[in-house]
Amino acid sequence: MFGCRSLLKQIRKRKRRNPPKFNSKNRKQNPNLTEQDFTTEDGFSLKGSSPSQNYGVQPLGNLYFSSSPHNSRNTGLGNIQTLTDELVLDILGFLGGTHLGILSTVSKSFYVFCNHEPLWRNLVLEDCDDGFLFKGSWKSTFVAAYNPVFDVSKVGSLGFKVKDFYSDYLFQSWLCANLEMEHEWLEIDNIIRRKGISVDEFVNDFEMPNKPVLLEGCLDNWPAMKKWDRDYLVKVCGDARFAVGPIEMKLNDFFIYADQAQEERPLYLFDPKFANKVPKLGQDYEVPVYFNEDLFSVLGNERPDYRWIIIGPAGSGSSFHIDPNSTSAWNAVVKGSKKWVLFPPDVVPPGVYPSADGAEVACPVSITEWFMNFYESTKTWKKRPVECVCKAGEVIFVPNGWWHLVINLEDSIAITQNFVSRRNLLNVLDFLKKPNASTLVSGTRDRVNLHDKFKKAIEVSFPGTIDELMKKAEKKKAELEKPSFWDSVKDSNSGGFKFSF
Amino acid sequence: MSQTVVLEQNAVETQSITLKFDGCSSDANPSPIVNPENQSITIKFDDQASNHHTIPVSIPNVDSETEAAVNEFLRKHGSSDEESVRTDAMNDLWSFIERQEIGTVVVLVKFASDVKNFELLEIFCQRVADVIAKKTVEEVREIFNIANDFTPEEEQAIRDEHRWAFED
Repeated sequence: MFGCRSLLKQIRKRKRRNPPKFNSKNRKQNPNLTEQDFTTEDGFSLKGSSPSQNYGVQPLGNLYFSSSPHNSRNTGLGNIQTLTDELVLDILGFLGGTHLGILSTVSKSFYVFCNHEPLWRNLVLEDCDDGFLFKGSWKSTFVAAYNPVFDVSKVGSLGFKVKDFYSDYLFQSWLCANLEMEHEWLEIDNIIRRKGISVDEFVNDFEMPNKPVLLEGCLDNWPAMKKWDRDYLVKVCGDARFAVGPIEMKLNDFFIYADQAQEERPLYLFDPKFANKVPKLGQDYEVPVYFNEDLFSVLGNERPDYRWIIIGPAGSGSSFHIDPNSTSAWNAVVKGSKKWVLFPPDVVPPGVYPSADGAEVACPVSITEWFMNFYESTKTWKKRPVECVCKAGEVIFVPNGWWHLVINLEDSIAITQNFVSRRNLLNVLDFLKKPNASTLVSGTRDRVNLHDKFKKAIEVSFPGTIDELMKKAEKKKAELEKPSFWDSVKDSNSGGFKFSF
Repeated sequence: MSQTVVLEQNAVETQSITLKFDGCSSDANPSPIVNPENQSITIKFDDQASNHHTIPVSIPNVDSETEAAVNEFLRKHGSSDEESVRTDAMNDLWSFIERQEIGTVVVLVKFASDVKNFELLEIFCQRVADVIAKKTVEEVREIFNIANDFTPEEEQAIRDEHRWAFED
């Protein structure tokens, strides 16, 4: 009756796209411009390595400048041309691989639409049970798995380009998959850096006031810093399978993918059980001394997921979110480098739409598109974001509640852990106590009871701590609650986020 | 009828974003969920949104029978939380849609998208996909009124590239 495919997966690809600003005049004068020569009006440049197939797709703006009003997108879609690109792709998302393949031969327009890589990526990730062998593109990967006899080098080999095909959505999609991080996006580095400070200094200057900091020199003694290269990791991990997006796969297979990936949202390896799967990995690093207080450890094996290895190619990363369970985090780069953009808890980043209860966060655009469309605007805000590039050997402290976005600037390997110390224990308990804890709390199967379990366990291991912290908090609150006249005037307008009808 | 939601970013600056909603949807902006752990972005729409269709909706460019069938679905689907009632409603609508011309279904896809009703959108998109999936290349061209804009050489090359899909 119905396709088993969940609509949610299809709608996932629905994104708002701002039309790219494109210097179409250049295009007209130089019809032989190759993709490599290509720069947009805003001066965006493409990645140095050869860009992925674009089939000649041009942004809609070009149509208005062209001498002929013909758009082969429309004639080739026939009655479906009235639908938006996103809706056409939604429909195609319900088709299996063979149908998409057959449909590609119907018209030039369908050829272009059916070659949209995210469609094939979905098919591969849904069908492959234990990993995939990437063959240069998601389509080739699918075809190779579906029909191992077929010469998969034929797929995409035609270099076929369609004239007169205009589509903002498809153009922007291709552009974001091939764009380099702009120099301007990497320039600002205003995070506070410290080296060799004491734990007390860290707690007083950063953890208590809940401020981010970049710590240098903490990883010098990590065996990982010396040992972790591809060969070592592949050898040590053997056949172990790690979480990559919705599936699990072997490390070597992941590297094969990572080396060839050219997409807007590259997959990255992100596994919370890496040290269980390969204990050697857990032995190659140690928690920096500043973060040794790790109160969830009182729960032993019942603790929520708390540590991940992150391996990803350039362009992979995570758009704006707040870490779950109200925990704080540290993120240490072993290899490569990452760009970070952080906003304090009360400042919602542009282009981000949290729901009222905080259960859902929407950042519909990809990281690249966020930088293209929203980054500039942050420069005019009074509450500017904290930004930095974190390089190999450095650790960033992400205080609890802070919004953060992170993107790998090159192939990177990192370790990250979330933690609870006495400084955010009360926050965490409050968070876990919330009525909608079952949706908000993450990384554990036992969401509903986590609060009670955790509280009990703390009281066993650290009796009196919670009471002491609560007394301190009450005292602090009382001190702050003596409003000045001006405070009471400002009060009605303060706060970051509210609805008014 | 529209509701306006004003987001105040910061009281000191006057940054504000005004979002206007069609009267059918509910309060907050339907929000995709970013899950960095499995790298998915899913959009979950509050079921409330579709339950707000208590008044019959008017659908442009379809006949009254179709409009009635959609409204019947909305009424039935929204009337109960019970799985069986909702499935019945979906099956009824599905049977109805199977009997309609493809042009009508395309109109309905657009309608469902405009009113952000994702149950409807799924049904209609799935239907169009089903129509496509059962057809040969020539049949697809006919049913959607598509002119073949490949040259014979191009068509041959592209078929060749997709030989794996035709072999069955």
